[in-house]
Amino acid sequence: MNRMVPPAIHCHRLTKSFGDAMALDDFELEVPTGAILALLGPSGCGKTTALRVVAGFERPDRGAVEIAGRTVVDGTMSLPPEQRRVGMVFQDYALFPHMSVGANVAYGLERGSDRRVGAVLDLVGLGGLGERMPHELSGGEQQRVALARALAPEPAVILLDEPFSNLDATLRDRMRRDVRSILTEAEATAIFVTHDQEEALAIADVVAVMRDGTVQQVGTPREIYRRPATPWIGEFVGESEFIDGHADVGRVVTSMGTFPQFGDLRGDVRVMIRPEWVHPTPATDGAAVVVGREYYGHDQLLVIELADGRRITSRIGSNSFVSPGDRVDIGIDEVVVFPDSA
Amino acid sequence: MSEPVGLAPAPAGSETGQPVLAPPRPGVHGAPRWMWVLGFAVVLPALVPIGSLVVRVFGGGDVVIDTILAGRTMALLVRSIVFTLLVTAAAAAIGVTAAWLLVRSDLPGKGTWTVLVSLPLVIPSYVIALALLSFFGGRGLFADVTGFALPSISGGFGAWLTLTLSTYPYVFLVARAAFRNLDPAHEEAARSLGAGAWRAFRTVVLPQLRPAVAAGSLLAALYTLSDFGGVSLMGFDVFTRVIYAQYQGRLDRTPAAVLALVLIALALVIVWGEQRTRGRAAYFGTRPRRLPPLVKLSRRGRAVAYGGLGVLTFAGLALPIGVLSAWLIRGVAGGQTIDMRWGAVAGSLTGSLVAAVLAMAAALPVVVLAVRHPGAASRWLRRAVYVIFSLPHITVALAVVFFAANYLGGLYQSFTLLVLVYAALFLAQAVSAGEAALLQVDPNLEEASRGLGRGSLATLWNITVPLMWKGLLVGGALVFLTTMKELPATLLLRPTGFDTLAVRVWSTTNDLFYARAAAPALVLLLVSAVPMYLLVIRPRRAL
Repeated sequence: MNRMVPPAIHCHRLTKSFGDAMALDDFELEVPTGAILALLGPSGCGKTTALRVVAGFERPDRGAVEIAGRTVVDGTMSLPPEQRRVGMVFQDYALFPHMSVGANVAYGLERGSDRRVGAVLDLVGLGGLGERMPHELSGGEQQRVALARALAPEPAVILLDEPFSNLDATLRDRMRRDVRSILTEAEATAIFVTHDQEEALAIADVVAVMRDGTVQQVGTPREIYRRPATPWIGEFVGESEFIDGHADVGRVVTSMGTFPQFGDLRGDVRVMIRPEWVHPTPATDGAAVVVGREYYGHDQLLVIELADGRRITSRIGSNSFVSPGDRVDIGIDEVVVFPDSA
Repeated sequence: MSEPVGLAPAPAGSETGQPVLAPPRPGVHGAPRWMWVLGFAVVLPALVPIGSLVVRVFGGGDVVIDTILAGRTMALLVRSIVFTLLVTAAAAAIGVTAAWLLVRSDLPGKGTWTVLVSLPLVIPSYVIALALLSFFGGRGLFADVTGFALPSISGGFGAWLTLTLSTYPYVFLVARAAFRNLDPAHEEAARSLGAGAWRAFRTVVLPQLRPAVAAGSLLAALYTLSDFGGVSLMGFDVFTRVIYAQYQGRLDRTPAAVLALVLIALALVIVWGEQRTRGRAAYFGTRPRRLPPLVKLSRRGRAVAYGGLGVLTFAGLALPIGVLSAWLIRGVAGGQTIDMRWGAVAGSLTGSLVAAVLAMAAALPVVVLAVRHPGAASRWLRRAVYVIFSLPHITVALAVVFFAANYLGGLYQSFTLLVLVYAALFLAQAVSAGEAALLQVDPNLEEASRGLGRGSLATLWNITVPLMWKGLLVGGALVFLTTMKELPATLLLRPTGFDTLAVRVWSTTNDLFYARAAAPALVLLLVSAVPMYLLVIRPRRAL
């Protein structure tokens, strides 16, 4: 990343509480220009508050926010929302019900920007629908209008609050792809808030995992999934199982075998395994036995009982002919090692 | 036709365009024929006298043309329209401002203020007029106590003040609900798109309030147009007062009939105009998940707000109650016996009670047809109910007088006819409350009953009515309260010797016996205020 370009957004040590509830607690986040960042966390972790503080709808108790290198709020001042160059896409879209689609999109523009309105509507695939009223549109179309309206004034950053939660499953998948490609084509920087880890991993360039008002890890989807910083993050972003182990230089010893470790942990540790890292091989004298199966079509989940009675799950392709009752040997690709205290 | 709001706990937010709790669902089978017969049987007779009024007027010949074209009639029309506009504008401005202050600002004590500001709803216009008249002026209470005479209040200004104080609560209650139903995300979206606070309010908040403000203003305008007591006591000649004078003073009653018909036309034009203001926008949306952040008032803003609300509460609430109490106490202290006609109390109570029960019974078929069997026929039925509600009472009463005198000799000036007219006039209140209740009853329950072998009547009686009973009761209570306050229809239709509190207040004030009006007026307020608080204000606070 070019050092001369300031990050699109820098949140510095934001703190915000509502009564006794701490919504943001030393919240720290940097969003590189041009990136799509997912702010991922369970409900109530403060992610929507973070978005609203950036947009200027809430004022933090402490801390500062810079947008494109300009301070918009700190201990001494707070710019009103209209001066922040932030485009917001609301969870239920918040389209003005008394204005046409075109008027909604034109709201943030100078008078007489009809060409821009048309261009943005074309960008979101709604060219020619400018005369419609919001309630005459489907849910997916309404979302496109909300996105077009936010993009129209070319804000420094687009904020999306749980953007796909109001859509049904089929539409959701398509809108995820479309929104991503629209944002990319508009060369926009975006933060979107979600509690759905699959959604975060699928759309974002960068994922920030949030818990209890703080960002706990920032990384690419791959880093977050394969190298979670804590057991909690590991469990939150995907299916996982934990076993005990003992670490010494470069390796960790468990009841399921010995694995390399890249850190330098010593002593008792916790080892996390994801189901798709577990590979059963049929073997008549195998030490483990398949005791259950959930068949999903695109893959299947096996429940395997080990010699010591412990159970572990394995996600394998649906073409594999391993069936309940079969004896198997277990191979494990990789593991994640956490200190025992974590 | 528009529905009255603020008079009954309407289906959640239906006036502000919010969806009702459960969508009306047609029954699987059409309504049984007896229900249609019943529904039309309770509504049509109310329309017949009005139809006969039209026939009478158009058959009236030259007198009719002369009356309509007389310069006096035209002047009266203009004056009534201007007066209604001025009152409605003031009521809308006060109602919306108060609603904004008590929903969106950080003013302390909002709950208490909300009750205080809503309470003038239970004070009839003629009681407010009585308070203003007997407080100001050389003979007024203020002059009596302090020796310093305030200028007297009467005529157009006094009538305007009286009606504004009587009608702003309608706008206030509707606007308050609308402010609370607004999705704060709309305002935030506008702000993040570069609009300042004022532009966001003007372009996004106000337009969305428009249907609610229009509905509240419609009520205020119809109330003003229909008001008889307030304008009469203030000595201000608008349609209602002139119609009454014509009716009382002339042998030929055709001019009164003509004027009544013009007034009916004016009321219908207002209802139609309000319909026209509803644009093409649809105001969907569930109730917002959160209330918007409160707007911080500056110290000066807070002082102005308290001042305004204080003046409002003083003039609309403290003054009437204070003045009435003072007259009563002075009267008692001066050795007068309290001039309390128990006959008037009994008349008010029995008349209102019978009217309420009749309206509840008549509302039931209309409600069931409108909610469970939507279609052109039930829509017209419902519309007729609301049209009758929007007509000035004096015009309906006059139509009934003519009709009964000509065709229903035995019923003319009978208690039966009077309570039937009450029930017809206020049926809309019972229907509106009943609809809100029935909309919450799952039609599956009725279908289950039918599936278990019960007929439609048994199902209505065993399932539907018990489940919507409370809503009907609320409607009945509203009819009771409105009937207690009713004046012009009572004056025209009451049997000889039948007296009500409203009539006593009006006639003693008219004769300038303010002290004698105090006792019946206070009883009227007491009887009205308690159930009104329980039924209307308390449930609204929970909204």
